[in-house]
Amino acid sequence: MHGKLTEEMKRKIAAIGFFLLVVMSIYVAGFLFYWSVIQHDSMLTEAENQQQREITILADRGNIYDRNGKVLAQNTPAWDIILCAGEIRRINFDEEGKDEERDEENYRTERDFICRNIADILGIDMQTLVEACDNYANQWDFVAKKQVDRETVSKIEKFMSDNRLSHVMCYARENSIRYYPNGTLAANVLGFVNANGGAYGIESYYDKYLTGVNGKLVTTKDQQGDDMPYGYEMLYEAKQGNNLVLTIDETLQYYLEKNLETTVSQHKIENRSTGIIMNAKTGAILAMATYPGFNPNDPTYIFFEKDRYALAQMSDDKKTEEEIDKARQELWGRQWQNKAVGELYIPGSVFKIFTCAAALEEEKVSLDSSFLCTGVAEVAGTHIKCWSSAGHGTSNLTEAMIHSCNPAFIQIGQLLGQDKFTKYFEAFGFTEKTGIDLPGEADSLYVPLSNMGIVELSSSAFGQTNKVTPIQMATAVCAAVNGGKLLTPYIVDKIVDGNGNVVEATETVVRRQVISEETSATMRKILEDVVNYNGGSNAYISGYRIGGKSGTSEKIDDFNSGKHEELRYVATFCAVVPANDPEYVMLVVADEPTSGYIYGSAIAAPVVSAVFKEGLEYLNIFPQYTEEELKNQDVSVPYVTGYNSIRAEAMLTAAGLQAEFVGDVDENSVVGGQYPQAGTFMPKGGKVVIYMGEMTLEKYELREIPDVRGMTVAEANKAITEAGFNIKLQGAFGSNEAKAIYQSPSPGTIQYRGEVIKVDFLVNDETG
Amino acid sequence: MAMADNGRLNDVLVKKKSKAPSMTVNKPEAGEGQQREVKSSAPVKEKYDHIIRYDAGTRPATEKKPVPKAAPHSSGSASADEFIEKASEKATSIVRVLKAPDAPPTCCTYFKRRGKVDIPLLLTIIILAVFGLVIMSSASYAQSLFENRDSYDSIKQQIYGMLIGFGAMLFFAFMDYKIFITPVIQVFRHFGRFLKDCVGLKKKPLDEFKVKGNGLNAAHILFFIFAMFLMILTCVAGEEVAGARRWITLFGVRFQPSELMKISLILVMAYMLQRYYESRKKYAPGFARYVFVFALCAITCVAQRHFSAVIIVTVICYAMMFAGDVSLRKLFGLTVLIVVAAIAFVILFPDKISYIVERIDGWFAPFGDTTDTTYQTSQSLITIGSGGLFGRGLGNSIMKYYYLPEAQNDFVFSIVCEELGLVGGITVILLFVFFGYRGYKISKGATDTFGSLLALGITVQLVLQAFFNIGVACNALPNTGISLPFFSYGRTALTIQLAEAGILLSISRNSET
Repeated sequence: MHGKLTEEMKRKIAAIGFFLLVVMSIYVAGFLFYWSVIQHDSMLTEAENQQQREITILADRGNIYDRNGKVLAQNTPAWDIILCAGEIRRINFDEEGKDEERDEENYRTERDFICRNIADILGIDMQTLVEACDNYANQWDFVAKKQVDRETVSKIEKFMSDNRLSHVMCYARENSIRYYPNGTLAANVLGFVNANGGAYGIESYYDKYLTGVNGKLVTTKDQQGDDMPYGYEMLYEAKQGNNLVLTIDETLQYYLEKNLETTVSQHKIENRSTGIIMNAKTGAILAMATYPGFNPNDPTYIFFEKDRYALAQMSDDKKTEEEIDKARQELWGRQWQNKAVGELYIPGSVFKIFTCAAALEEEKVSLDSSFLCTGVAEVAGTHIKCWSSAGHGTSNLTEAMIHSCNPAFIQIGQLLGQDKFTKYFEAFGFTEKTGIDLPGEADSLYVPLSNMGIVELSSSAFGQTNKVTPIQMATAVCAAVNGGKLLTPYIVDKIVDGNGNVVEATETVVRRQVISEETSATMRKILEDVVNYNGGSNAYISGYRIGGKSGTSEKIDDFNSGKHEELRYVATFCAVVPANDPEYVMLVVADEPTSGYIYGSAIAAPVVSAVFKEGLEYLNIFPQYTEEELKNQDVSVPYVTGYNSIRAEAMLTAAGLQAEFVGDVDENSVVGGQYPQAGTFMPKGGKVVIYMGEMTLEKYELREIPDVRGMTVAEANKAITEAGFNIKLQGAFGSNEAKAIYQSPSPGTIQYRGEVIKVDFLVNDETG
Repeated sequence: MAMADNGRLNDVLVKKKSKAPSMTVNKPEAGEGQQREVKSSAPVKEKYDHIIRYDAGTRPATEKKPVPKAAPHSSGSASADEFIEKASEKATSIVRVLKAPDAPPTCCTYFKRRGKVDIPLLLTIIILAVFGLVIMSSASYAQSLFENRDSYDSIKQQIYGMLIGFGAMLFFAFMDYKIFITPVIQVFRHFGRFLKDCVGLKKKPLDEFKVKGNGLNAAHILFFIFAMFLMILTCVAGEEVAGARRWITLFGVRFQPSELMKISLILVMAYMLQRYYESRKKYAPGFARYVFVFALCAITCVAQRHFSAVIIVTVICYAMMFAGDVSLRKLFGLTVLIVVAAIAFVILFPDKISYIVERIDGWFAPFGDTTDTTYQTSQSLITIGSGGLFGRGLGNSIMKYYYLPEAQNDFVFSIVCEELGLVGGITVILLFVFFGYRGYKISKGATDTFGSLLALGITVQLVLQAFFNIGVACNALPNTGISLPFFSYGRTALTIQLAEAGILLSISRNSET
């Protein structure tokens, strides 16, 4: 038991102790401090990243309603298929990593199996899924396909459970797709939604309002993805996007589009047509259409048949994929664009409204001023022709407007001078954007004051130089007739949150006073005279006070640049109603009609007239007929069958109709049948065919309808009456120069004698 | 009281003789044995007077009471305590009279003979063990729940280990640590005698533990041979995990023989360093003996691919040899030898060390390859970092849900930091520092070289393991598979660690701390 410790040993022990305890503990504690305090935040984030599973709760996109609360855009459920690439890998790897080769082999087999089957079900490329699996670190959750339907989801689920695969590996996450219940209706106004959110139209402009805030459910999970016993769960609720209430009226929009469609097909409009109905007092847009547009439910489908055909032709012509793709992109860009705000056009004679208003405001002209037109005007050596080569002779201001006389307006323009013209051009808002809440508003092209010579001034005066957007025109017309206030047009009335609270409401913005109330009143009078000229132009509707101006502009720039071999035209018509106190302004622009008709009054005015005829009553503006108009009102045919001839004739006469008897008219016989049937509306003074005696269906007489197209009103009336039918006059039948352009039923068809034949008349010139 | 009391002792002794029968009734069993001893040896009382003096002289003047006041049974009322104290005081006085070469003490007296254990150390050990158990129960919760459908599964096992461990600790704390270097036969005799004493059979007194001969007949060497046998057995028939064989299951107990090997190595080294102290300056056989023992341990560890154990073993041996006055030159020579051996190993088995290179790479870039080689380290750092200064609160660890691998084993410290924050982590470090401080104090103050080096070896082993483990957890050191003493899950390891702590406590009783 010898061996006492020497002092040296004690010192050595103390040295060992010091090294181990002091040095080691400080060294270790330093690291501990670094990681647990200095790196605390980043480590906590790391920990949360791996502990928390975040389930995104997608916020519903806001709906879009028309001004009456009818749905224009809404959401319907759909599902995203998520491939949990990391899970597929993780599940095949042993934590201990005993046999990595075997694990790798298992993983590859399972990965390929899952990816192949899912790709088959979804109809996508398997390779993308395989790559996602291998990139699992970056794409733990990989969105294999977005917005699939319920059926596909069921297939995926069946596949997973059939093969006893964990549903964590591949699952469906609820999403929604944008659905437009009215299809193409107002498509160019609404736009559509793609993967990145709203594209084009309101969907794009109001994207941040429509897009809600996605919510999330954060849960803590253990490494195997199960909930932890003492885990926590945080729910951040999704905030639904705001709903939009538009100023658009679904019904009016429908009428507008329907009639645009008719005119596009009737007049073979090559470069789309557009129409705007705007509240002249508030600037609210009630309808805004572009035809042909597209279907926002399937925006990539080329809607215009001609374009579709051209594209198909390209692939037949063995064009390269690149060229076809470029062409397709171009077509898409064009069909998605809202022509009413995004495209420029030469306004033509409609612009005369502003030249006229400016000259009146500046008192350069008055209603009594007279202008001489010889059919051609010479300005600084340039000959500018009037549309009527014969010329209009001497006319006052109203007549110059009615005849849309170019030489007269050249004179007015020159009276105004460059300074004033430019001032009013600016004042009517043609040099700035209107500020409408739609994306892609185009900047107008105009000759600035510095470049404006006498020739430019002269051609600008009748609207043949500067290029503006339809919305600028409509807004400026509002200013011309509403008392001179230039408004900011708007299309979203209010933004409403999910609970119906108004988040934002649009109010009418008056940008400036352009002309005085008196000038505006004069303009209203002139415009009404234009429509009422000569018994009613093409835009005339009996019972309504309509003002308007047509325009036909030459697309001289396209012709000069060689885009088109022949000179093409833009036919426009702008109408205000009621003319004495305008509520609504409507502008129709038909770009490049190729049917042979070119005049705005012939192409665009009937659209205005047709829309107003249907729409004004809908807008609670009821016809107020003058006495003369009342005389021409249609009447309902009374029921005369069963009465004797005298009684029957008396009843018809009382209704303002004439009787034409067929068969023996004697005291004993009674009326066996009549045509038109009781209750039918027919023009006053029409003849009702009365069949006396026993009546069978075979006894009704049949006649062939004559072709009256191209005839004047009197000629057509005569032809139809002689054929045993009644004529119902439509369109500009009041005008002596009107010609029948359309009749229904079609000529040559066999109809019962007494049938009412509707005939549309049109004044095919620039008058009005 | 030592000298002053001695005068009174005779009187007490005489009185006691007559009162003896009545005193046997309520006394602790040790006292009972002593009582009888007193009676039988009463006639030779005067003869032992000098022994008393001798005994007192060998003890330091500041010696505490020879008998620990807080006997295991003394937990009754105040009067009972007083009574027992008085009784045991008297009994001890008698025993000290009897303790002489002529009439050697019994093993019972031997148990009682020495000083008090180091109370701060004992408390530290208890705190560490209980704290460890609490943390372990939290850390093992998830795995136990998911794998055994019983969240208390691991903790139950650990509690068994702990109970056995405390038993072992008490046993070794009461035992003289020289039991390891006493011939085995003598040890058995002592125990036999002890048992006989307990059942009341009288026997002739035995010698105290004595080191005889070359020590090859002592427990430590048998223990070392046994440990070596297990080590080699494990190399051959151990459980293979990722190319290493560190675990073996014998008679239903799964354990790492290297744990046993470490303590047996410490015992053998301490013995050799004392026994051959004089020949330490010779290379052979003096120094070569140490190197041989060290090499045996190191090679078996390498054969198990247990490199962390090699490091521990090396540091223990160096520390013990350094403290045991082996010259620095020899230690340097040994270092050269180790380096040469290491290079040879690298050249011979380059594929075996590839993972060491990986670990070191991972040490410098803990977030470099988080899915594979630095997975453990990065998760551990996230665990520590997410605790912050004060932690998530006890039991609130999130990382234990399968994020942190080996949450109840090698990375239990990370859980401490996640749940209790930096404060908890520093507390654990300070507990180990205090444990080490007491350990070195005991080592320094030990009455003999064997005890001193034994204490040193045990302290170095436990503290080093703790720091290695903590260092790995906070990336202060490259990743090695060393568990945290008293904290990590492992019944056998905990039992052995507590037994080692018991030996340390035993040494403390003879140490001037």
